[in-house]
Amino acid sequence: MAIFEQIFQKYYRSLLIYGLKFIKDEDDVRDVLQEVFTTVWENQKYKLEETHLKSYLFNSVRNGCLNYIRHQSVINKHAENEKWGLQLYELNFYKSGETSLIEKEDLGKIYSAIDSLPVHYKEIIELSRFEGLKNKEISEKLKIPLRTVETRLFRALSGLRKVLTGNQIFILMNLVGEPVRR
Amino acid sequence: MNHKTDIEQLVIRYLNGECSITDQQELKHWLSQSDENQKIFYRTKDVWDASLKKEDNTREALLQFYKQRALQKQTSTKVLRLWKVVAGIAAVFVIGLVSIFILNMLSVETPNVRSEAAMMSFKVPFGSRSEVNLPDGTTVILNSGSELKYPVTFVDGKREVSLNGEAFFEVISDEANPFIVKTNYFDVQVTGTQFNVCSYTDDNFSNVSLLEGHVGVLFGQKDKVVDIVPGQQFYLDKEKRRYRVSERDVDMESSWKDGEFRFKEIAFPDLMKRLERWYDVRLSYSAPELKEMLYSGNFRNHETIWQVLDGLKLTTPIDYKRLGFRKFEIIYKPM
Repeated sequence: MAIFEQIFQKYYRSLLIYGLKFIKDEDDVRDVLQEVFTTVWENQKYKLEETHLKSYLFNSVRNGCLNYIRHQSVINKHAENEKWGLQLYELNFYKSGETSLIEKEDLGKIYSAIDSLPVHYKEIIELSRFEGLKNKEISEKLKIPLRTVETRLFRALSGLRKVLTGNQIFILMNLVGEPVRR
Repeated sequence: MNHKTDIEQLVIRYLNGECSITDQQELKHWLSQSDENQKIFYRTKDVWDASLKKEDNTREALLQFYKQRALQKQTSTKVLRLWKVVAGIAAVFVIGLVSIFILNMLSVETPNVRSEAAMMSFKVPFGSRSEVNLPDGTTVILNSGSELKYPVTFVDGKREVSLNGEAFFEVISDEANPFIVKTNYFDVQVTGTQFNVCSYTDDNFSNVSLLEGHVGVLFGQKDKVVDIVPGQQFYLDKEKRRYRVSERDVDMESSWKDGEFRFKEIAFPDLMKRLERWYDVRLSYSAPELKEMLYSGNFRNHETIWQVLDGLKLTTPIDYKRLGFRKFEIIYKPM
């Protein structure tokens, strides 16, 4: 099952992070992934051509999350309606053709893009997304006002998005020394 | 006031889960104003989500995948999708409705409806334990802060009791009339055995440990049955809505009934909850490090809470402070 394992190893982490967009609980996302890869295995989806396979995987994870949220929102009708509402909008947003950075880019490339940001942006993203610090903790650690942390984090994310989607991606690729195929 | 900056800060607060209710309403309002706003929001969230750093443990994930597939084939373990038990009134309300629903179903299925026998309720306060003898000769030892409801007489041999909390059962054998323990999360059905049920509403788990005989655990719409054999424990994670059956030191699980408390690798928050019940005290703590700690050890019942805390102080990186009557604060103190 060499092909299956290759595909699993190539996409599992990205799909996990993609699923976490829609469902907070990591174990629940892993359950969704288990089902997706079971189908890949049983229906020999790994024979699909690469780009098809990739969008098949991401779509399946999204649909799996959608089913999960629907199921949960029926159960929790009283409790958490509001929260699920925003998540359903988000799922629709991606259903209508928007592609996530996670699908478009290799995770390693995202991490090196963060690395390439100006230092005060890089620092704040790392503290927040790598170390899992809350905004308030970052503000204490860096001794800057909470509002500054929030604004700076927003700017850092916008900058990162520009790096990853704009022309700057090519500059970045050269910077981190990605081999360019001809 | 700079509106743009306000929105940026609002979005970040939402992403980091630090949104107040007013914040949430404001964000929703802003999102509903235009598609453009939605685009800004979801694209920002996308970068946020994409920059989450996860350890690359794909190899473990692959092993796990094969393992689960193998298990699915044997159908010995299944992921249980119970209703999500959310703390709060809403959830209690839902559970209430569900149990009424189940009760209704049961009474519909019973052809000749009997007059219900008068119910007794036996409640054990925090800080003590008690023994109850049921009309059929079954003995129940109830742990602190537990409640057992049972009929004054078992009509037509129907043996049903309900439990909220922890109890050890020694059930008199009667093959024809199974003995049923109902909890908020599952029912335990037995003939003649010894077993321990731990099912407090404020714990995030609920479990059944079997010492002797045979029991079946019914859950969900009471259409799923899991059988366990002596030495095994059925463990339900209420938050993750999963169950597992594993080999456990079942004697240790029920050691409390002999006035001895033994633990192996129990999470610190769970240990605190148990001590609170046993000694009828309030223990507060806030250090995140404490929540991660696992604890193994023994206490004897005749020890006071002071002795227990002193013992903990020697073996774990904690200190304690008395805050008031039966109130203590546990402080994290690295050794």
